[in-house]
Amino acid sequence: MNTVATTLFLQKSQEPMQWWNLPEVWWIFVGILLLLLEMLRPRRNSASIAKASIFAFAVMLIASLGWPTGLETTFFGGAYQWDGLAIFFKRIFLIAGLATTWMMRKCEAQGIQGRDEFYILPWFAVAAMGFVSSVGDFVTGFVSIELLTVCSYIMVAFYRSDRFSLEAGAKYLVIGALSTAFLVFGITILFGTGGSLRFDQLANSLASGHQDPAVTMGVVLVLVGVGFKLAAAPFHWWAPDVYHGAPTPVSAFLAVASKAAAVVFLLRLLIGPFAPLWTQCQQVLLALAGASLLVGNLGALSQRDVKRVMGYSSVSHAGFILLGISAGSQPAMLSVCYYLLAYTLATLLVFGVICGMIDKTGGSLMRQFNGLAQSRPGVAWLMTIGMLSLAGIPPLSGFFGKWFIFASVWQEGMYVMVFLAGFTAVASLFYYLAIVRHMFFEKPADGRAISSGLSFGYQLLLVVLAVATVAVGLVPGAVQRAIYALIFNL
Amino acid sequence: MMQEYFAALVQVAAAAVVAGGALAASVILGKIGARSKAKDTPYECGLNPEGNSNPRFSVKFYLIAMLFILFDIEIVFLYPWAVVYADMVKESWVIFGSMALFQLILAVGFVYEFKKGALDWSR
Repeated sequence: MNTVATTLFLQKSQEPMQWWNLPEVWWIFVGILLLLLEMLRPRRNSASIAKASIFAFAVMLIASLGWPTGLETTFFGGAYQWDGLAIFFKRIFLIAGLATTWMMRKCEAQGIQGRDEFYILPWFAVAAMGFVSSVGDFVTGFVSIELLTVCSYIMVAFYRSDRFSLEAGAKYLVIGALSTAFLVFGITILFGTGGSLRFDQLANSLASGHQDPAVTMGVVLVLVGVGFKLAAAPFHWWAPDVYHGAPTPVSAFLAVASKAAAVVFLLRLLIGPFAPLWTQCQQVLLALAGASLLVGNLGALSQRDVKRVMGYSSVSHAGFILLGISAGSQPAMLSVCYYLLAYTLATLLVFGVICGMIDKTGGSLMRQFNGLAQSRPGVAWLMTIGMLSLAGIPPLSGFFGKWFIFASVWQEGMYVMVFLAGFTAVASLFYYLAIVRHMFFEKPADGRAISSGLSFGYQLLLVVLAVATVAVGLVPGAVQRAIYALIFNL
Repeated sequence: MMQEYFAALVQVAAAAVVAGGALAASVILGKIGARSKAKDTPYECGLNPEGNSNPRFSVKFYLIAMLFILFDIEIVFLYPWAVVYADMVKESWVIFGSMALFQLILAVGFVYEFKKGALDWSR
C-alpha cells in the first residue's frame, strides 16, 4: 500500500520515471478494476460503482498535482512524450471526466439501472485522451483516438429506449467511421511518402520532400479527419444532432473532452511532423476557423433547444480555437490553452445545469426553462454565469480567452479574421442571452413552478465550476503565467 | 515530378476501360433493346424466390459472431508473435511480459463477457 501511495503521489521523488508510473496506465487499471468490481459484486447496486468511479477521479486529479513538471522525456521508443503540454491537457481531461461522471448519476432516472458501464466508460475514454495528449507516433495516435471514439459511441447511445439517443448513436457511428477513414488514409499517404510513422522522423523527411503533391494530400486528409473530431465547419453536421440526442453528461463530455483531445492532437501534429508544412496547414486552418465561426454562431441563432444551441456553440468555439492555432506563435498557443480552460469550465457548468434540470423541466427546449429564475434563482444564476462566460462578457474567463486569442491573431497581422471573429462573437450574444431571457423574463407556459431536488453534492459541483469560471477570469494574467510555466518548463 | 504517378494514371485508365468495356459489351451483346415478357421479370434466368428474403434472426447470433471474431483475431496475432520472437523471448522478459499483460487484459474481457451472460444461449 505504501508503494502505491508513493507511485501515485510522490512521483517527483522518483528518478527516472518508469512506464508503469504513467497516469494512463493507472487510469486503465482503475477502469479494469471497476469492471471487475461491477461484475463480481454480490448485490446489484448502481450507487456503489458510481461513487467509486467519482472517488477515483477525484483521487487521480489530486495525484496529478504531484506529476513531475519541467521534465521532457519519451517512452516506448518515442511513441509517448511526457511534457508540459501533455500535463496541461491530461488535467483538463481529468476535470472533464470527474464532472461528467458526477453528472451521470443524475441519469439513473432515465433507465440506465443495472448497466453501470456508464460510469466506467469515461475511464477508458480519459485514458485514451491522455495517450492522445502525449502522442509521438501516428499508430499510437490512431489507436488512442479510436479507443476514445468507440467509448463515445457506446455512451452516446446509452439510453437504449430513447429514439433521439439511438439516432445520435447511429449518426455518430457513421460520421465517426467516415472521419476515421479520412484520418487513416492520410496517415497511409504520409507513411508512404515520409517513410516513418514517428513524428520526429516524419518531420525530418517531410522537411526535405514537402514539394510532393502526395504530402499535401496526406496532410489535408489528416486535417479533415481531425476537423471531424473537432466539430469544425464544414465537418460539423453531426454536432447539433448528437449533442441533442446523447445523454446530457455525454454531450458535455463530447463538447469538452473530445474536442480538447482533437485540439491537442492537432497541436502535436503542428509542432511535430507538419512543422515543415506550416504555410499550407495555416491556410487550411484559417479556412476551417472562418467557416466554423460563421456556421456555428449564425446556425445557433435559429435553434430553439438549449442542447442544440450548445452543439452549434461548440462549433463556433472550435472556430475560435482554430483561429488561435492558426496564428502560430508562442503567445497564440498559450491563449489557446487559456481559452480551452475557460471553455471547459463554462461548458461543463452549462451542461451540468441542463443535466440537473432536464427531468424537472421535461426537456431541453428553451421555453421549458421559462421562469426558472423565479422558482430556482440559484440554478438560473449559475446557468447565466456559464452562458455569459461562453458569450465572452467581462470579467468572466470566456472574455479573456477571446481577448488573448484576438490579441495574438492581431499581432500576426490577420486583421480581417479578427473583425470576422468579433462580428460573430457579437452575434453569439443573441442566442446565449436568449436562454437567459427565457429563464428570467418569460412566464412558464402552464404556470407551474419548476420543483427543486438537486442533491447537495450536485449543487457543490455546479458552484465549484461557477467559482472556477469566475476565478480564472479574475486573475487572467496569473493563470496565463501558470500555463506558460507549465508548458514551457520554467 | 509527376512522372512517378504515371503508373497510377495507367491503373485508373485500365479500370475505366475494364468497367466501361463491361458495360458496353452488355449493351452490344445482351440485346438490351429487345423486349419480351420473360425479359421484364425480375429473375430473368432463374426461379422466383420463395418467401421473404430477410427473415428475423436472433440477435444472439450477432453477439456470438462478434465475440468469436474478437477472440479469433487475438489468437491469429499470437501465432506470428510466437514464430517471430521465438528466439528473443529466451533472452529477455520484456517481450514475453508484454504479451502476458496483453493476454491478462484479454482474460479480463473474457471473464466480463462470461459473467454478463453473453455466452449463455438460453437467456
